[in-house]
Amino acid sequence: MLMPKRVKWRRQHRGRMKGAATRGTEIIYGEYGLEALEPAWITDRQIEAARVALTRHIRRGGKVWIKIFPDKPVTKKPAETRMGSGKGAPDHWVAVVKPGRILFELAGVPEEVAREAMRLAGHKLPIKTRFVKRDTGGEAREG
Amino acid sequence: MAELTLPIEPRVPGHPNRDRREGYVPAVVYAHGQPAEAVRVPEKRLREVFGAGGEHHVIRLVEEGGPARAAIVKEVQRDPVHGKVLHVDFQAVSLTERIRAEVPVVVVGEEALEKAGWILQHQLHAVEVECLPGDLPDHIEVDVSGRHPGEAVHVRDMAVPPGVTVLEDEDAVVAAVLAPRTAEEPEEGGEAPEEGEARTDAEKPGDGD
Repeated sequence: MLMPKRVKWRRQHRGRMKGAATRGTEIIYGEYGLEALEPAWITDRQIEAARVALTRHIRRGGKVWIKIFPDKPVTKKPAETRMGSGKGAPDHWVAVVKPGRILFELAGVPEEVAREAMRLAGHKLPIKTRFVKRDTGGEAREG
Repeated sequence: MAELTLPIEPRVPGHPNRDRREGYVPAVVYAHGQPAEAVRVPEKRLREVFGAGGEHHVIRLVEEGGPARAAIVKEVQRDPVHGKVLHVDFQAVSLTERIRAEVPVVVVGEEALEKAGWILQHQLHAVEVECLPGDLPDHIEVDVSGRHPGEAVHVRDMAVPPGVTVLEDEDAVVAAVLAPRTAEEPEEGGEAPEEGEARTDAEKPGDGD
């Protein structure tokens, strides 16, 4: 599963997810992309599940880029503990995703294959997503 | 390509959303040695011009009562979710002065590779060129037919029209031909990144807080 090798602080504040993504909104490496349409914390397991769905569908050939990285620790208190006594222990990692962010990129496969692979990957994520093609700026973005 | 014209009108800077509500896109026109000028363009016409390839072509900006100016699109700001154009930078150009602009790279002959079951990895999607505005090509074609796995097309191999200088490193790879992986990918984790090992408690977030 993806996680940072080393972090400066074990626990983070939760933060807010206002507005749209301002970076990582363009397809840089591949031909096709999967774009987030809602804000969410995407967990390391969800990213891995989506990656597996993508690579399984495209079988051989093609190249996949994961454009998000779970660098935010999420803490959890043990079950059946009373409130208080400080913040819980780090439990898993999430990537903070805002609408417009490109989550995965794909290249080297026909469009129909890419579309289906991205559809399968999108179902592993807790948000609505959209298939996008390189240079489909403006109103040409597909739903 | 037919000449592309776009009507512009002056705007009061500082109210971009008002212009957008009225069906215009705020824009700026700047030129070498001249002050920048805030203008607005009708969104519908802008979409038509961009649809006809205007993002990488010389456009004639026509202002009512003023002279027409040749310009290129220097930057387009888009809404990341809806894709709507929010703002455009135009650079007015002199037809006798060489300019620098980005030109898309189009790969041709891909079908032959697909037929053979090879994969094309297109790496450079646009190149910066220097030329006279009149010589600015819509795109630069790169022929990959006849290439075999392990071979690459470099910037130096591109068919560049006369009068156009490509400013990229001539050894930069534009596209590479790859053979498909022969074996089926091993189960999950086969292609996982470096951190792909199963997580243990010891690996949990680092040093104290």
